[in-house]
Amino acid sequence: MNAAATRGPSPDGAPDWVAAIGRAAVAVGLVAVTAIVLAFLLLPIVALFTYQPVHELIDGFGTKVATDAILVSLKTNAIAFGLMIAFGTPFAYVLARSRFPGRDLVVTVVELPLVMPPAVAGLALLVAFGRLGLLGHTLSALGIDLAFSQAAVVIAIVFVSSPFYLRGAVAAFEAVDESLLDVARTLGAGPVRRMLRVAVPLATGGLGAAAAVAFARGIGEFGATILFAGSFQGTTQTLPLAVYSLFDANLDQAVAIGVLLIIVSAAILFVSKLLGRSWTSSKSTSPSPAARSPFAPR
Amino acid sequence: MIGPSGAGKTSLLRSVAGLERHCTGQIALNGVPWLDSTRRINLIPERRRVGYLPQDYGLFPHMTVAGNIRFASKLDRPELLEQFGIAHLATARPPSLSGGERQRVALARALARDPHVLLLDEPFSALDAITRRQVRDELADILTRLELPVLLVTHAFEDATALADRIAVIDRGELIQLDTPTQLLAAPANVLVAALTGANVLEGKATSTPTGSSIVLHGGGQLDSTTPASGPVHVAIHPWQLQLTDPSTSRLTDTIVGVHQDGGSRRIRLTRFTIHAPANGQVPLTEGDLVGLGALPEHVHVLERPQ
Repeated sequence: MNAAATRGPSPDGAPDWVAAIGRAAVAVGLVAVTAIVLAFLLLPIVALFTYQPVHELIDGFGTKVATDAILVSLKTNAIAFGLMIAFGTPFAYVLARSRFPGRDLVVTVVELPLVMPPAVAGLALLVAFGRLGLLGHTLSALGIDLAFSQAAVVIAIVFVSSPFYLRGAVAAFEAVDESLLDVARTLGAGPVRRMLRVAVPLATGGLGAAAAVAFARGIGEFGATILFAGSFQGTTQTLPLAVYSLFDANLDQAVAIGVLLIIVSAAILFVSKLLGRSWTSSKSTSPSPAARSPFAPR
Repeated sequence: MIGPSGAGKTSLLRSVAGLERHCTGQIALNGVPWLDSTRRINLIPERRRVGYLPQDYGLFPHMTVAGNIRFASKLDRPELLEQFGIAHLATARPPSLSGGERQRVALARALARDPHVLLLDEPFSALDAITRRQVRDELADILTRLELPVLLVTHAFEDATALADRIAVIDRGELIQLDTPTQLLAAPANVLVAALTGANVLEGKATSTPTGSSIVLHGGGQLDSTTPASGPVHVAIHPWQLQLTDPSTSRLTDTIVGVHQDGGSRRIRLTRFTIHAPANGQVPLTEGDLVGLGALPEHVHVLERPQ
């Protein structure tokens, strides 16, 4: 609104103070909406943290169920994370650097677990790797029974979380200045050296941010795990599964584990934001091509 | 190699480096074939021994200067750092270097690989006007010392004349002319070459004369040339080969649009021409003045104009 309009009657004939009240109402409304949104998001978290006295909360972290779940979660997530980085990084590099017919199809396959309901993912894993599943006969002939084992937890976590890593890693590799990789070739560097010495260091920030998001998703993984791996304390019961199984038996303990999960997730989110920031601020010296989504149609 | 944007200069350079897939033709160096599509030879870039500098030099920003050079040779090469005057920058990272320093580091790194040919793509495109001249002179010195074949891409004729023994003019993927800078100026093969070398290019109609041809320009005026020609033609005259004459007796006149002081000479913009005149000319020149123009017949290049 310009200066002239605030003096004298407004064009529709209403006096000044009406317009002023209108503006004040809009401002109050905006503040109220902001407060409502923040309160809605924050209230459940506050409720979890204040559900029981602090000493009981800390005691809850130390119960057998909780420590077992912490160990299972740490072990399975560490292995899943290692597999994801080891296989996902070269895969993302190749996908980012190559153009071939059917690339969009590959990208869709990679993205699919992102939109698949976790329960369906668990079901899919069960009918693929389970005893009666697609690979079940082959695997049991080899003496391997994956379903309801700790390996199943790892598989479920990898399946559900690695698309988050792949998606981010492809974007990070695509943002690496192609001419640097060309120069590396002319300087005699083969594909492995180009990837490890040039592409990965230049994409570190993006890779780290993507890995953090994937890790957080893996820590929180529930649906696929409970269907494919079950919930056996000490073998397949991860933290989220422990929350679910304690829900009926001991709500205090369930809440304590819930608080633990929230602290871990918040820490990961924070780290990924830091990584994401350092990534955007320390890009290569040359103006990089405008960041584009790796999954946008080209 | 010079030519307009999109002429294929960079593609050609990248083909020599082996970076363009799906090339057909032949590329050989000292008799060693790098590409021969009839014999299904196509060496990968890693095996071609080229020193390739892309437009922004392609230094690895996450490595130090010494690290960049080690990437190429797997050894520390203190003598290269010394030779290029970058020893004091060994631990610096490329983003903190000036344009000239970057070029030296990139050249040192390329040479650390002991290349058989240097490929430079628009080495001055990222530089401002002052740095550009410095860096170009520096490069000219380095290149004469190197005794390596060098293929350099630029879109500026000025850069090409400063650095090259021979200039290839390329347009839409075709080689238009390959000649010394002097020859390109003296005998441009077509309108594009003439325009790239900075000539005034005008349309006209030629008629044969005993000493060559006489051209009536579109828009009025007449010029003589030693080139025999008749029919519709293009005429190309370089700005420094046009002289100001008395408009009352001249067969070609034009009006001054602007006068720019350019170092030791004046650049005079007319409605149809640009000319260079000595700064200490007797005649005061101002906008709107009518001037006469003349050129020696051997400096008037007549080029065929396709109808």
